[in-house]
Amino acid sequence: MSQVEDQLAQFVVFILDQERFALPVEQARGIERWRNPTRIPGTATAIMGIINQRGVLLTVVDMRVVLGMKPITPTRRSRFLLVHEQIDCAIAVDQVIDMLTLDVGLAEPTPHRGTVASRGLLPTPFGFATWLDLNALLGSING
Amino acid sequence: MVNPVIVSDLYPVNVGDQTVLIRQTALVGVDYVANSGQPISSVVQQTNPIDVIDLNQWLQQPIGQQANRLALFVVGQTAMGVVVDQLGDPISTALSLQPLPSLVSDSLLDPSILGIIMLDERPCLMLDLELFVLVHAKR
Repeated sequence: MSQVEDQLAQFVVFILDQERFALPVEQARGIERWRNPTRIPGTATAIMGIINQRGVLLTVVDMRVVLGMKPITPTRRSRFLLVHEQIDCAIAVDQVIDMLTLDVGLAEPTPHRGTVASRGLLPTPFGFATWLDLNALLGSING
Repeated sequence: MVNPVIVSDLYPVNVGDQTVLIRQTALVGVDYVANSGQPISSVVQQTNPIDVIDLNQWLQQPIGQQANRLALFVVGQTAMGVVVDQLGDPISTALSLQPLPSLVSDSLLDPSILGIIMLDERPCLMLDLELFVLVHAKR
């Protein structure tokens, strides 16, 4: 049995409906204040609309809906987490907590939300945060 | 690289806090309708009731506080119109019509949404109003 070595990586930790989630900083391009997206009726329920981010149109994704939670209600703490993966988009989150260096070697299996959305539970100073599999989540929006 | 589509001669239409752009040539008439604060489904035009689609309801936007809203009558469509909060001054400037982001277009089934035009740095939907009425009248 191989020894588990410490693997430190930086994550953006944020809140969705009182639960903590984490994304690697390599997938995050920035954090922006909330502004009402331009709505586009007839799209997937998780798509809130689009915003202009310095001349680039970005799709706003309600990650709560993607994860099966109730839709986000914007507050003064709500933010857009700009992410860069196979596609660029803005994820609507209830609150960004911090950028933290976390030990992925300590990740524990996720007891819920299946294997598609989560890569494990990461211990943080605020409690466990679910390490999201962004590609799988974004791929599930229109699937 | 795909060349941007250039459009001109548009009307900005206010729908809640959003602006929708339509072609000036899509309109054959405009009429005031009393604002009850509720979505409107029909208006009376020359004693004839006409079904309308309330764009505020379609875009999930709150209806404004003004006394009157506007019914827009669409070229070639005598039996169906749309209701909006306000109609802005015509825009004759050439504007660039941008395609929707792929995450949006992959799930969008409404062919009357033509794309996005930036107006004062805000993304605005451009609607083919004639097609919109056709598509939504069937529903």
